[in-house]
Amino acid sequence: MNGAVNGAWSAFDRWVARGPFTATDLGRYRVLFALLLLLTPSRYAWAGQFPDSFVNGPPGPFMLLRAVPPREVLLGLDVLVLLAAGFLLLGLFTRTASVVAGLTMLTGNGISYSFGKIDHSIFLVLVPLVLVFARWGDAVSVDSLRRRYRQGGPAAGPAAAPPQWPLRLLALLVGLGFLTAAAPKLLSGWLSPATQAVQGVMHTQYHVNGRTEFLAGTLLDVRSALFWESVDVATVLLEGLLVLAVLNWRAWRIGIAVASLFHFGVLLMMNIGFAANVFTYAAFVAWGSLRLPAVRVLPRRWLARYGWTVAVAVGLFAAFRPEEWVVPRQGQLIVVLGALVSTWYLLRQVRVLLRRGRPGARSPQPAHDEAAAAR
Amino acid sequence: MPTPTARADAPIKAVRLVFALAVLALPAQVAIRHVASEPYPGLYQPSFGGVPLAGREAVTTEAEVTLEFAGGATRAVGVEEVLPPTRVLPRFVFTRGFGTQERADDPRTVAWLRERVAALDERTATAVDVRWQRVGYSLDDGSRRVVEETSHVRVDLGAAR
Repeated sequence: MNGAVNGAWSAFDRWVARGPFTATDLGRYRVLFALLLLLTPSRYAWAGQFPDSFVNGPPGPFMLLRAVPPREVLLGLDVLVLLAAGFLLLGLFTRTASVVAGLTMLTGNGISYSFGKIDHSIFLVLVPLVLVFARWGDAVSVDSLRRRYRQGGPAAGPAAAPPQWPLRLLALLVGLGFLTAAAPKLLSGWLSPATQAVQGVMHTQYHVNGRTEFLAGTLLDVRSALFWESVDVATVLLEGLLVLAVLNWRAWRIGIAVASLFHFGVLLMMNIGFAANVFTYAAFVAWGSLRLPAVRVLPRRWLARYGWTVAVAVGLFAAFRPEEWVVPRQGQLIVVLGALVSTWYLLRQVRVLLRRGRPGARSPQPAHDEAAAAR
Repeated sequence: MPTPTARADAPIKAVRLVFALAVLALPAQVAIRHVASEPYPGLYQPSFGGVPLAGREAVTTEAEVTLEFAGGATRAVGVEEVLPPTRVLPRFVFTRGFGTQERADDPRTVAWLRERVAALDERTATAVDVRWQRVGYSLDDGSRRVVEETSHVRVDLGAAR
């Protein structure tokens, strides 16, 4: 009995430690993640315009919140997130910046969600708190420069392979999150052929929330019960089964590519740009495989010593920039980009499958995908 | 290319514990939601709250908001007009403040609403009337129909500002 248990634990340990992700993959993703935070306008200051009587936190630590925090605190949370993002962008004091960014977003969101509506952006909060354990500051970072200089010079080799278990954990958390969306749908009759839930949701989004763009108007006129029931079933299946894809990296990448297309469909149909999820899926992209030109804006030694001034300047600029300096439709843009990358990835997978059948054919997959496929 | 290995930077038992907690958190969250409401922090993703259909109508709840002025004049306003800009859907925040008479009567809410309404209209508002209605939108032609009034909330702002 003990032998079986030990065997199971060993298999589990090997499973969580397997993965294709390199330090460069994670370093580049960290830069993108920081840019997303820096480009997102003020998150929490709005809450300061409401009276204390509107506050009633959800079950959890924010149940203790009885009043709207002072405006200075809300502004402080906004500034803190952006300062942390400045440090994440450069990869300087990455561990501290990751924890500060994650906990500040958790706090700020908790305050915002104490006004009656929980937006489901938890994955974005989890990213820095989980990937800090994958040492996402080991490459494309000032931290790595500082480490090299401390060790005697810039001639050190590439960063060591990062621990893979945090990526597996992030994937599992995303999968479990999806499961929480599938279960209520399953229990409330989404699979009943007598009701077409997505059709109902789309109509209420259109009429009540004014989400009338893209294909919303066209789809209002689609009356086919078969079409809408298919969308209901596909939604429940995707949300319910994604967690199983966590078992294998290639299956997971295919799963989140399909999920990205699902988010694109939601954008077209209901004009909801669920960018937080799509950006979380981007953590599993092989960013290190991209050939990018070497860009050196500032001398390395100067960065290693004074990089903190750049991080602070970037964070403060993002915090106090004019309100109108935002990327228009940022969330929707991210969803569209996610759909494009996902389509490209899925088409490549189809190509691999088609070629696999031919005798003597070479696999068109790069090493990163080969590694993922094997795991 | 990282070499697959059982060794991680964190102690193996700690990693096992973290994964176990992640899995166990799921039923815990479901239980909390069942007995209270959706927790935060939590892994929840949008469930869209069941099937919002009744026959050939998509049904929802809406607030009809009317400002009442001294002298008897009235003005219908939208929920978004009453609230300052929010980063969450305004109708949920409005429900938090004015979903029940008890919440709306909170002196802090009344004082705040008085200021908001003064910024909306130069006239002296004496009351804000909120009628919560169950509304149906036809799937066939998009026409709107009030199915029933579910509750009525009235906030007396007093004559003087």
